Amino acid sequence: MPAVVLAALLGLLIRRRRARLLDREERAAWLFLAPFLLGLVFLTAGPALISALLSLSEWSPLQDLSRARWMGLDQYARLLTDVTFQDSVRVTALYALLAVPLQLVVSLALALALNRRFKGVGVYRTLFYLPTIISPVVLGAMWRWLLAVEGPLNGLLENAGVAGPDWLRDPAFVVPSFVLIGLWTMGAQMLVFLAGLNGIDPALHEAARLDGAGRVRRLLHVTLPGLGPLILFNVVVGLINAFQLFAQPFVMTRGGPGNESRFLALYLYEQGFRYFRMGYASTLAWVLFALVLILTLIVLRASRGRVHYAGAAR
Amino acid sequence: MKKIVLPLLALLFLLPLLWMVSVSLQPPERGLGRGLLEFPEGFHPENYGEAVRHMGAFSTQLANTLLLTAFSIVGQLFCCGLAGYAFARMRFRGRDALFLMVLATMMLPPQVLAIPQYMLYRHLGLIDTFWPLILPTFLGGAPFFIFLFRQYFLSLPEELTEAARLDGCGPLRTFVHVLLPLSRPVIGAVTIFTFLATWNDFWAPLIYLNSEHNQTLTLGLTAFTQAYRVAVEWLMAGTSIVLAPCLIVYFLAQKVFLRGIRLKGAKG
Repeated sequence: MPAVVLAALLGLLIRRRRARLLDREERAAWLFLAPFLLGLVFLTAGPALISALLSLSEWSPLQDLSRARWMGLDQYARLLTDVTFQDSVRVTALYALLAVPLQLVVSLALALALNRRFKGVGVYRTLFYLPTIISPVVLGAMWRWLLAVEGPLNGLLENAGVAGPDWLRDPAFVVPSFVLIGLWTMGAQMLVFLAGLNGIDPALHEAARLDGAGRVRRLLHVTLPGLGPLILFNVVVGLINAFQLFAQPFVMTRGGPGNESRFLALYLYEQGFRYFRMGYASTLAWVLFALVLILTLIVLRASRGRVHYAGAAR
Repeated sequence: MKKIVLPLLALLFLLPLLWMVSVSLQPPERGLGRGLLEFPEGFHPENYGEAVRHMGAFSTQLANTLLLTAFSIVGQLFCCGLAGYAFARMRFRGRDALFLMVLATMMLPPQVLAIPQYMLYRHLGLIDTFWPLILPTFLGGAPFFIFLFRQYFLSLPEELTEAARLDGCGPLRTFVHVLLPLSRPVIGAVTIFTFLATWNDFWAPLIYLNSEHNQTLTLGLTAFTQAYRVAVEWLMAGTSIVLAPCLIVYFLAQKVFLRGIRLKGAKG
């Protein structure tokens, strides 16, 4: 049992520490941290280790753990022939590719519009942030009806003279439907941008204005560079969130039509908790982690030399 | 721009919610209606009664959700408050390395840990109990909250804890009697964020809670959405019921969300 080994290791560590501890404060500190440390070992570090091992084997919770079969890298080779997995990567990537930039543009535009003092600006901020507090299950339940073929959104489009699609059943529109919901819930990104705009030194704008820079040039050369680190932050957090999309497709489409909304997190859930392939589900979890990590590194790489930190310049 | 575009956009953002509430009060047999701007007539609050009746054991779900939320709040405050204090105000070897680990665990996707955690709880015979949902809040808490507590305690003047120490206060008494009374903003923020996260959580109840008497509101609502031929007004009444407490908390505590957490402590 890896858990027992871990516990023994922890016990050893604590005993060695205790021998050296003379200082009351240090002992108190470890005591204060004890709940957190227990969780770190048993609910985070231990499981992460086991998950890595599990991703190389196959086990069903219906059997005893000793019946787990070691699969080695074959488990990862399975991914190459798993058409559903490939579909799920494709639709997840498509979702991320559409949702992340669009959320960025909309949240930045709203933050710019609301970064002024006028009557009612607080009401607007409250409103635009509101959708982010809604449970994904509630989101799913309400948008499933909003997007129905005979539903209110299509009714609105009809008033405008456009025939709306069957959003959630048309393979071409199901991912954009989730992107639309993603746009409705971009409030957190907007708040990050608002905080960033607040932090830009007004003297910089003043200097640019005195140098004859118009609104557009000040936006491009003062505001955007000032927001650089936060744009990066929102892209990375947006990517992480995009790859976590689960409850909305679970409630709204169950992955359909075909595999067109079987996002990676949903496929992982199905493999682990519907078909009880806990090993393969762990493999998928690590693939998900790796994809997010690779994309994050690419974004960081691409931003190098373009994002400037105010603190570093001084 | 701000006179025309902003109000229009705000209306667009609000329409889905307005639609939800108006449909939840519509007369039976109306169906979906056409158009977001075409609000139904009539006032039928009895739809809410129907929704409650059709969501399964509603009062059990409500009680379970409340219980889980309350325990999670206590757990997060307990674990993250203590850890945040240790990271902010106590000296011990390996402090900075350990704090970096806290931040690093924020990067790990929950799915990576979900399966071994499930195995662990299964091994302990805790599937279909509340333990897998409550235990993690007492043990470990959320890294983000530890970070919040640490930042907040760092913003309080160090003389406070020094003075307590000189007066012979031990670390625990300093924490309880000196720091906690000054920490209402960060306690409030963690409480509200934990409330929303637990109330809205779907993943953990879905994988851990199977029996009907353990269901939460989000599980009940999900089953309701997937039931065959549910009247849309009942369903929207159900979503309104689940959403209402979140809306109330949001409007009461707007400042916590919109101004961010003020990381300023008492003066001097």
